[in-house]
Amino acid sequence: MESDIGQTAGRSSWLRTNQGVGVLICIATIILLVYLVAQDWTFEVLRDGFHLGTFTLVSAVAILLCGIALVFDGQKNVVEEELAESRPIEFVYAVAMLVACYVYYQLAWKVDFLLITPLFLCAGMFILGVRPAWVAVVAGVVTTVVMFGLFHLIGLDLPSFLTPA
Amino acid sequence: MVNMDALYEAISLVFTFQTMMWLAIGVFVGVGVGAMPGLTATTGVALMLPLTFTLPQAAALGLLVGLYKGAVYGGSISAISFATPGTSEAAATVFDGYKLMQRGKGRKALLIALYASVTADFLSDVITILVAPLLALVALQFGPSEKFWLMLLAVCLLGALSGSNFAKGMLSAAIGLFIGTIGLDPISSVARNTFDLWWLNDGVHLIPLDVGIFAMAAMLEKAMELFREKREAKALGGKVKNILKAGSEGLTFKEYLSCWKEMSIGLGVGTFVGMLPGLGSTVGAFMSYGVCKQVFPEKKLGTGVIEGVAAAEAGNNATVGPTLVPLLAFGIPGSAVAALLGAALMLQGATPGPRMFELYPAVIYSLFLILLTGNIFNLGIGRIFAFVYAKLGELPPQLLVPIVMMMAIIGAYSYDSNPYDVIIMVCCGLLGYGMRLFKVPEAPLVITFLLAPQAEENIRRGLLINQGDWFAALFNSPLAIGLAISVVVLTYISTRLRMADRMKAVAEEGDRPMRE
Repeated sequence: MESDIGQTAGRSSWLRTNQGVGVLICIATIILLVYLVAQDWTFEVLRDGFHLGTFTLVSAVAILLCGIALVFDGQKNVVEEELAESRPIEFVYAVAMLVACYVYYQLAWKVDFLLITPLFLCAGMFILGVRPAWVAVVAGVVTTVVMFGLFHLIGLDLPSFLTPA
Repeated sequence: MVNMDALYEAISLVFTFQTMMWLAIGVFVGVGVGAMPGLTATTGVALMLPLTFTLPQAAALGLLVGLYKGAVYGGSISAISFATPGTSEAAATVFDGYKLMQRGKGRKALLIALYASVTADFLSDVITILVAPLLALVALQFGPSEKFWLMLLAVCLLGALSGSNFAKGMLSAAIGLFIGTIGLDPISSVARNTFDLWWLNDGVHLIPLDVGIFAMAAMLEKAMELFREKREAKALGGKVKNILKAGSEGLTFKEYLSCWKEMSIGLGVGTFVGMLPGLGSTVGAFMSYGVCKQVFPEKKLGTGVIEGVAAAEAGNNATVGPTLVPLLAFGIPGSAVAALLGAALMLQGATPGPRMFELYPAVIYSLFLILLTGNIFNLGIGRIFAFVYAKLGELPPQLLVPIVMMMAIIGAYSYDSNPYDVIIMVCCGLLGYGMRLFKVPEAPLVITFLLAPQAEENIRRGLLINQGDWFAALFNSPLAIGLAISVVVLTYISTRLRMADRMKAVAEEGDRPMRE
């Protein structure tokens, strides 16, 4: 099988086609549907005679139908450019960045916004390639102070020793 | 009929120092957002939305509307300066704008972009002000079943027009519907679809969803691009100096007037496209450019002429006001930004829809006044700072990504001081990133998420009125039947004719001179 951007179709490149992604969506949605059908609330009848899970089931079935359409429609062999260029490790990077964001949030709100934010910004800028390092440090500190001031001006006090809880 | 008391109230709300200041800040930030490649109007509005709940109604609307107007215009600055459109809306501006820039006429290109944007934006706002109340009168006649089918029709239109693949558009809408059913059901207030997580009983809030899908996901995508070292814009940075050079050729009033035909076409096309759900300002710009190229072959659009810049910029800015028409008249947002503005209105306690004209006339008039006044700020700020904003394109995107991520976290948390909103935002960020990789449009998700409770409420109200008879509830009037048939026909046409592909063909037609 050959995809529309001319890649030789091995197992990994097929997974990047609309058809491949469609199959993954179908599998995930079938698991979701099985879970939904097994729930008591799904078929609970409300006072107006409506089943509580009707709209949830309709949406899951609609996702499944869209997945099936992707598997069989005329664009099934298309590989989107972004997906073709991305490497599996990038998904891991994306998850790692989101985890880092959550950790930053926890630390900034539990320790001190003014202390943690420059560290987060400097580290982020440095990892993404800002050089020399002092540019990242200055940008991180200046941005933190400016943001802190701006949010204070609009009435949102960020957690810091400067703003009593 | 104009409610004079409400109009006076709106004037007193809008023409205050505070509202004007936030409107100016909105435009100022918006032009910057537009000028920076990697940030879009939607990202900017999504990031600012959580901050508006602390502001008075008019100031909040001023900030967001100003930001939207500024960002749609601002995209043209980097399009002309670096051939890298700051936003997708400005992609058609590159064709002529960058060629003018290369010939040392960057100042002229920037000025015609500004004047065409403001002219078309202002006139399309006037059309919006005239059309929206009339459509709202029609919408008031709709019952629950008509409203249900109208929402379904809007979702189908969004699915058909907002991406290159109908199935992907509808997939996005279906995910939005699924997320919209998490939490309490809208009539009986019974919890459902919470995956046994107590903190989902309250449902997924719009702000963390928007911030995650639009801002966090966009930054993840940008970060991955940086990891892949895609930095084409940087090599072109030095060209900006040409615009700032003293004695660079400006724009005469006669030259501005000579573009009136292109601006008129841009106004017409942009207004029409803006009112239709799913198309948006990018299509407005390309269609306007394509039409002008066909109608005026003697002007040689694409070879570096100001008429080309005027056509593209008038086409994209003319969609700004009209994109609010479906939201105000029917309560159905036609684009992602309209959904965000609708959310801002809801945060301020005014649910958008036809009844808004009766219940909150002062809010409606305030919005109309802000739409019109925003153009004056756009003109002033664009005229004074456009050449400075051009330098923003040289800012390394590596600086931008962590800053926007930090703002996304603050925005998601601060709106309700709920730590679980940060978790939802992070999850939505991952979902949005996956959607971007697979080219699934985000707008249908957010719009269906907003419409889901209303659609359920309408269908269940219809069922109650018709004592549980589904057929009577769904098809109780010729209009409901007509709308249902439209949904079926539209779905059939979308799958057979690939409407979005045809729109893309118009864009490619416009792209030809660039490649030549």
